[in-house]
Amino acid sequence: MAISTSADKDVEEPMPGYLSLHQTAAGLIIKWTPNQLMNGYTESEGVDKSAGPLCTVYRRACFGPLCVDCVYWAMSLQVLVWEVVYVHVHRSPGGDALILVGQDGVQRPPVHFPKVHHKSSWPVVASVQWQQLPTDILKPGFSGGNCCGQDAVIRHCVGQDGVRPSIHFPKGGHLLSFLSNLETGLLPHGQLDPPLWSQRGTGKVFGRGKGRRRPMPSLCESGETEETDCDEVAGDYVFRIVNNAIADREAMRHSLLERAVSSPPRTPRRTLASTSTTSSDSSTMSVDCPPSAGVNGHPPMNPAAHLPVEQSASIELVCSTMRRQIISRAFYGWLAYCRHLSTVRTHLSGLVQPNIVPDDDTEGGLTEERWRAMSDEHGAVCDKDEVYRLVYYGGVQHDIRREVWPYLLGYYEFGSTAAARAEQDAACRRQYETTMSEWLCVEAIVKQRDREQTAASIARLNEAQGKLKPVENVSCEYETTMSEWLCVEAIVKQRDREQTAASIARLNEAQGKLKPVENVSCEYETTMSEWLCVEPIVKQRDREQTAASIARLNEAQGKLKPVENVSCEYETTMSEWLCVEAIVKQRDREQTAASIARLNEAQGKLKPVENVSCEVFEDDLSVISDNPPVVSPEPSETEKRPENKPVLSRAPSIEDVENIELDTEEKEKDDSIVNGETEKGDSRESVDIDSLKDLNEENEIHIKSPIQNPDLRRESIAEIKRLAEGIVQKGDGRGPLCSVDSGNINFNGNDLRSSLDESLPPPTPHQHQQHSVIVTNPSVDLAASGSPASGSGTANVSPARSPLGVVREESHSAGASFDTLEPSGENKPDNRSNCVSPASSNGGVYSNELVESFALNLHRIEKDVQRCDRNYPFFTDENLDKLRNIMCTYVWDNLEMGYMQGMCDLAAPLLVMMQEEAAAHALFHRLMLRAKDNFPSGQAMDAHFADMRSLIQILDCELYELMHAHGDYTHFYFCYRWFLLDFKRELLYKDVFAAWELIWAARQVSSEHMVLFMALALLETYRDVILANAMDFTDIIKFFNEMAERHDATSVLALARDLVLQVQTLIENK
Amino acid sequence: MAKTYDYLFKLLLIGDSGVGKTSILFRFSEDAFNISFISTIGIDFKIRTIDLDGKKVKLQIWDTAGQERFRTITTAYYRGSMGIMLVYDVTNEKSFENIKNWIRNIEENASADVEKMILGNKCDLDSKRQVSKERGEQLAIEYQIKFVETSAKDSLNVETAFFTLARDIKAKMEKKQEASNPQARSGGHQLKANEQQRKPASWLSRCSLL
Repeated sequence: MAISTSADKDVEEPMPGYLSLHQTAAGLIIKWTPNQLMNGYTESEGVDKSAGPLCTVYRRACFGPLCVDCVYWAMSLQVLVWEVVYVHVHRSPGGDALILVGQDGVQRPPVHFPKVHHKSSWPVVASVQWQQLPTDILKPGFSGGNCCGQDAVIRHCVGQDGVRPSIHFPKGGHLLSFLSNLETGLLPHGQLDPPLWSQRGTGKVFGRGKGRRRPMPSLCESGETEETDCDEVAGDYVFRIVNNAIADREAMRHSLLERAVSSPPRTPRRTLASTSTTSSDSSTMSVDCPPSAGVNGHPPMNPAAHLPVEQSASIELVCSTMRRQIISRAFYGWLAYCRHLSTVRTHLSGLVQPNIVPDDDTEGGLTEERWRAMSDEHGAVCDKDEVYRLVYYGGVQHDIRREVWPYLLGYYEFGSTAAARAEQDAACRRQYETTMSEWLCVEAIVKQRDREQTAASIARLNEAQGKLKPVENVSCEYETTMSEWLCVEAIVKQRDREQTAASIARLNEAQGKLKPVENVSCEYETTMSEWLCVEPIVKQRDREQTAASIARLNEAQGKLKPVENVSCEYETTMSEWLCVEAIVKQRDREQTAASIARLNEAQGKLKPVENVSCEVFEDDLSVISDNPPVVSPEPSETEKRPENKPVLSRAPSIEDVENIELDTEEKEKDDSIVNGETEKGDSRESVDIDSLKDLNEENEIHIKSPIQNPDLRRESIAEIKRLAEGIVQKGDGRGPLCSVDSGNINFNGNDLRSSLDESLPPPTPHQHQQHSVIVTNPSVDLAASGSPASGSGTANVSPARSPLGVVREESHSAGASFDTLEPSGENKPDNRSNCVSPASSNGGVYSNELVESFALNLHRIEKDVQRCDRNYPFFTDENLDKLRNIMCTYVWDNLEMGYMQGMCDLAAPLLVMMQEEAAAHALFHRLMLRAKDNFPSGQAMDAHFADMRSLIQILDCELYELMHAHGDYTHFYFCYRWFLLDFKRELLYKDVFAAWELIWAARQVSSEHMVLFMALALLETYRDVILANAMDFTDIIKFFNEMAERHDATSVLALARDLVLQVQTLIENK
Repeated sequence: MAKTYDYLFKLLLIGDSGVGKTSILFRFSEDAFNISFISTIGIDFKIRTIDLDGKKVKLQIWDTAGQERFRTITTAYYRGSMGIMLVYDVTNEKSFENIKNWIRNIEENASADVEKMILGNKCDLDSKRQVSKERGEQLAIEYQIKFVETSAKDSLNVETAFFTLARDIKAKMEKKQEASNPQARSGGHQLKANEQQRKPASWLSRCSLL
């Protein structure tokens, strides 16, 4: 054939051309024309004109020079869609191919669709173009129809039956758009089977008919997600063209087609296609027959006779076709909208609450006067719905935020009276302090370990650099510490002895006996203890000097000065435990008071020995001043303390305290009572409490010297720890503790007075032993020995520690063996062996794991607290400390979750608002109930992202499409910080307050997911910028990071409320 | 349209929280130091375009949250990074020990041929130093990664670090281009002495095949 010869030059290469769909009266026509014909391009004249004088390609005769064109014309393709039964789609990564198969099995050229990413437009079908059917309807060239197409190429494949042109589409959405336009064009008479346009699943893009509609599942079925472009799938699909026309129209069509059939331009196809197009005449007819039913196989009618009828019939047909198309389009539009809504309802209805709360009369939000108006005479506010409504629409007036926020966060109950709230606050504060004391102990250990580690690292460093023996530095510290507690130890022993002696003395007096020997021994021991105290000091000084010389040496050599570190740390430690001390003291007093009260109730007797304990106890009381590092020794009030003075030159570290405590604890173990609250315990308490009572008068006397009796202080800390442990261990053992209002942490004896209102009779008179009430934990192995009467003299317990006799099993580092502190009385070696050797840590509450875990969190907290909101003047060191305390307390309560970056940011505004630590902590706790899921340990963040996706899809398709185009985007990671911190970093502080109020109030009013709508509002506020710049993922992140703290919060929040309303309306309106 | 850069390299800064990643980034991109930085939450990035051998190289440097909990999020950014800076704090032993973990994280999540570099930051705080330079170097040798001690505060070695990393990436990239398309390689490519170089002979031989 003429064509073949010219075609073989590039049989394999697709020839670019122009593909168009025409809607004519005859039906839908697919036309393809080579590019060369379109732009008037004429090839060179290399064609052999001798192929024939007349080109028989087309009807008209063409002359030599036109042969080339004729060739191209021959290659052009015109297919009446009704002739096509099947549409084969071959998709490959390189492009898509489409083959039309007629009923006679003829394969029309595969049409290959390119994969260029640009939106194609197929307005043909949309603008139902029709035309009067000319006689030569299918004349080559454009018949004036408004058609645009894409660059589609025809490729000639050589098959068995000759040249077979095939059409390839370039890469891109073209195949899809072609098919969808085809499908639309087929309406209303025909359709593709299976339909191209099908709804499936969720997340469809609705309403945009520009070839973005989702094709049928099979076209996209190779496991791609909704976001990917379906054109990227390879595969073969088959569509069948189904004609559902009713009979009369068919008849009309048939008549029309007959005319078409007879038109000459079909002839080229005959040559192009392997099968004769004459057969297409009949096939044309047969194509019109719907497989399902309907008229089939009309015999070809004589066209000529129908000409006039056909003319009017064609117009009528076209009109009705148009009508139907309009109706069908309207129907599909409505159908799409319904599907849209069902998606909304399914996926978004969970995000908002169904009933819409009106916003009338909410100007200014919750103002002070409204707030006051709402609370009754008892201070109870009952109309919570109104409160929420006002806050939701207008926020809270700044002055009353402090009062209102606890309600919004659910800390205060609506309807609670002022008294109840005060009570709640007090309890909260107590709880807070209790917890704080618990972790403060651990913190001390942690700090010590840090120091050691630092020293070790430095030592290693020095070693590696060949400096002086680093071990000296380490041992320096060690010995420093050791000497410290040795000192204390001595004091403690001394005091024990003194107490024992005194008790015995009194007892004897009471019983009329004298034991001079004890006095003697007292004295002896007094003396001994005196120099024992000095001895360590001397040693310490030696060490210090050594260290100093080393340091000097190091200095001279430009090395580190560990000694300074030591002293630095030392003072750090000191300040630390001094704080604890304060709390401890307070607790002591409270505890004591409570115990006294209990005992008094129980028995109503006094113990003489209390006097002794009084004095001793006062030592404890004397300590806690509010200026921690007061090291100046003051003249001791009693003769018992002269030896303390030298000790005071070196305030011991908290570990020393702990060590000492352990020592003394051992003795106390003798007296320990598991799970306290036994009479014995009470009795012990009573002893002390009485002494405390006596203290009242003596308070002034004794409560002076800041660090008079470091051992006492340590004892109290130990006691606190024990107490804390007791609390921790036995939840119900909180009676004595909680009853005391720890709100008065003023650390002066005056508070004690308030709590001492009852006298307490000691149960057992012989208990001169100042056994501390040891509310021990069951887990305390040491607690086993509960013998109350450790006879003579477990000169262990300083009365001071008795009220809080919680056995602490904490391990201390750098403590000595406590064997040196042998109890004069009962000696429970077994207990002592359980007592932790300082360097190791034992079980019990403060296990090693616990300490490690808390240490890790402590470091993280410290790093973050330092950096929190550094630019805000509120965060002075003092307030940062408060923040740190809140964090530590929260983490202590939630150790398994631990501290995560971001928690500081959440707590900071609460602290700013509430000012008070315990209140801020309580609110923070409530906030975290919801917020903790947002952290990496929870799952909420993914849910947020998914919901954001749905929201944007529904409420802003255009933005969604942009995000789709940049796939990454849909990770929504630019929202991560928003959700994690509830927008705290995106807004200025005052706006943060308003935003948080909105989030909290919205939970009750309109949506529990207000954060989503606020995020959406942020996006919408800048959507123009985003769209105009076609921002991708990195752009968006950068954009919002730079916009932080520059948003117009009021409008954003208002928009967020609007969006909620939109969704609510959407759901509400059926 | 004229591009403002020839190459775009995505870099990533990782390391324990508080070691100074944000400060390093700020020093490199803005040449400033700010002690009041707040801790990084989520992810952020900065851009700086440098000149490497006549080519404009745009560095897009991503800054992440350091806490381990956030690793699942930050690992999403490992993919696609061409260079990763592992930062530790010389005054914090723990952060140095964690470098091994970070390297393992990279091996699991980043592409195999990502360029890495170890930075020991805060080297100006000599009095609090806990990790010697030798140890850092040793670690780097062990993993065959480059190492440098930096101080964002004193602007010490920050530029050097980034430039070196960028150069390495560029060299690697050009090597790959050579490997895949030798005939397209333009002359004048500067081979780094410390790179593994294909012998020019092989390039020529490849060329001759065509």
